[in-house]
Amino acid sequence: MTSPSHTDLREELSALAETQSFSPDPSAWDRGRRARRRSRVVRAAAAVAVVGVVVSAGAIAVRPDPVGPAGGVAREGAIPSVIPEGDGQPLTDLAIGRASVAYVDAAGVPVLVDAETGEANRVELPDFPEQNVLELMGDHLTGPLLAVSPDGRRIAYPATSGMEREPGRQTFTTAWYRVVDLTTGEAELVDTPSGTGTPRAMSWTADGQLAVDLYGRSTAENIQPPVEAWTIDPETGDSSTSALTGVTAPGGGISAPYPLDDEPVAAVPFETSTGSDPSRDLPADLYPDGAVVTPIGWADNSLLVAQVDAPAGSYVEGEHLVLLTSPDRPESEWTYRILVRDVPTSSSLSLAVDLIPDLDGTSAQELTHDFSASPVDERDISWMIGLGVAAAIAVLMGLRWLWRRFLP
Amino acid sequence: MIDRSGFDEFVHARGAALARTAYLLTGDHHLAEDLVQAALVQAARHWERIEVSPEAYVRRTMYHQNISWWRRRKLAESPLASYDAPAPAADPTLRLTLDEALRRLTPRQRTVLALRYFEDLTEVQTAAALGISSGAVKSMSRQALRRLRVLAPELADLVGADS
Repeated sequence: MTSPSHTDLREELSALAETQSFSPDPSAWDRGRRARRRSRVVRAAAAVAVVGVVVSAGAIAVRPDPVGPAGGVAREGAIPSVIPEGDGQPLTDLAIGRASVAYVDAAGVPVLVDAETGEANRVELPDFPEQNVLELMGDHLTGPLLAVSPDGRRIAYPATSGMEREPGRQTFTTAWYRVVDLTTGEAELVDTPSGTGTPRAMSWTADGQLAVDLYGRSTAENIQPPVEAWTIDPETGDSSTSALTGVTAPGGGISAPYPLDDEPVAAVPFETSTGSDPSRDLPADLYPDGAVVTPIGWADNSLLVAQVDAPAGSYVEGEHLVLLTSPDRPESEWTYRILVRDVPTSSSLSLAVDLIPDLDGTSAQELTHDFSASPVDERDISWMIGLGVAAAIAVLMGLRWLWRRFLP
Repeated sequence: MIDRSGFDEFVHARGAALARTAYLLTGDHHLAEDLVQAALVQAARHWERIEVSPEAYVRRTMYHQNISWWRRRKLAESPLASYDAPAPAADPTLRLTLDEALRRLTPRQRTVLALRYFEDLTEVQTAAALGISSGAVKSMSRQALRRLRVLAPELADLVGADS
């Protein structure tokens, strides 16, 4: 192959090129300058938009979170990671919205923990038993007498009052139950089932009925009457006995009975509708000397929420709340999670169990919310996110500028 | 306020030369005119930055703009089989034959030929102007000449012949 004749080819190309005429377009300058002004306006608008996005993102991130977050799952409240103690004058307006926890403090004052703020409010409940009556009831009670509903919107308790049946001998009687709607603050009366006395424990069923354990009729003198379980519809007052005592799981197939004394146990007893009474061993490595386990509610069909009082030497000593799988499930599915480690000195503690998120099978899942976390931390994170977004946009704009400059 | 007189002087002095290059790049008088105008609009837009040496900027803009336009139009190009068919030899002069054959090169090939044999740039300068490697320039230049020989065998003397 030979190389081309550069001179000839150049001459021919030049001659061809000479056939092209040129007439300058006087508008080229104006069009170019207009394009420049437009691009500046666009850049300025983009900068304003970036600032707007960053400010908006920051504002959204800093905005107080409508609490949720047992692990960010529920957005209408959460169980607090630390159950706070109530202080101040008791509230008379009971429309607090939704309670995550209800308990009676050491002074006998009922306390409701706001599900959205984690704030503990002492409250003044109509017909709530006086302190001296609570003391009288002490040995009678096996479980909570102030019960918050699974969704946290209602509480129930017996209107128990003291009386002197014989001179010098105080006793107590329950005339009715009270159900308070925490969204309206209204307190309704609910009749006790005919012939029944003061409950030994109260809870709510998953379908919104009151569940009470109480003594049945005595069959012989000096023999303790049997414990009966009743359910009461708070809307109609209809009541019926239940086969299972204690806190019954949704579906009614299994229940966790209240402990009859304060003796630690190595296994949590259960009752089933088939008559078998299985038990669930407590983890021996956590509780080498056993613990007292009081059922509170069911997070789902087979996940019991319980209050555990563990003796010294246990993994977690003293009162705490746990989740444990019921023994009607295969042992391979069993789980045991510490839900809340810090429980104030109290009695009658109950929980809005619907606020416990479904377990995802990981031990890292947050089941409760730390309401004491500083909002400053959230602000720091929001600014980091905002700055990250701004930096990303700046890099993109920089690349665009380089592209236009070097590849026009 | 920037003075446009410098721009006007540049257009007046170099516009015709730019148009000639544009014609070789595009192979079409109207497209050449458009190409020069588009490059001048870009030059006006960035005049503050390029007024010291505007021609290099305008030429580089033309090279890239032409290839960019071709990319947008290439779906409408004729199929390769007819593209590679010899040009009709009806043109009476060698120049017209060259003109016709150039039009049937790809814009990149045409651009390389224009820069190498019309603008008299070296392979390295051509590569720098197009933002490609010297090897690519060499290869494209060889392909362009070979295609010219295929399209117009009568140009063999002009563009070299196989030994």
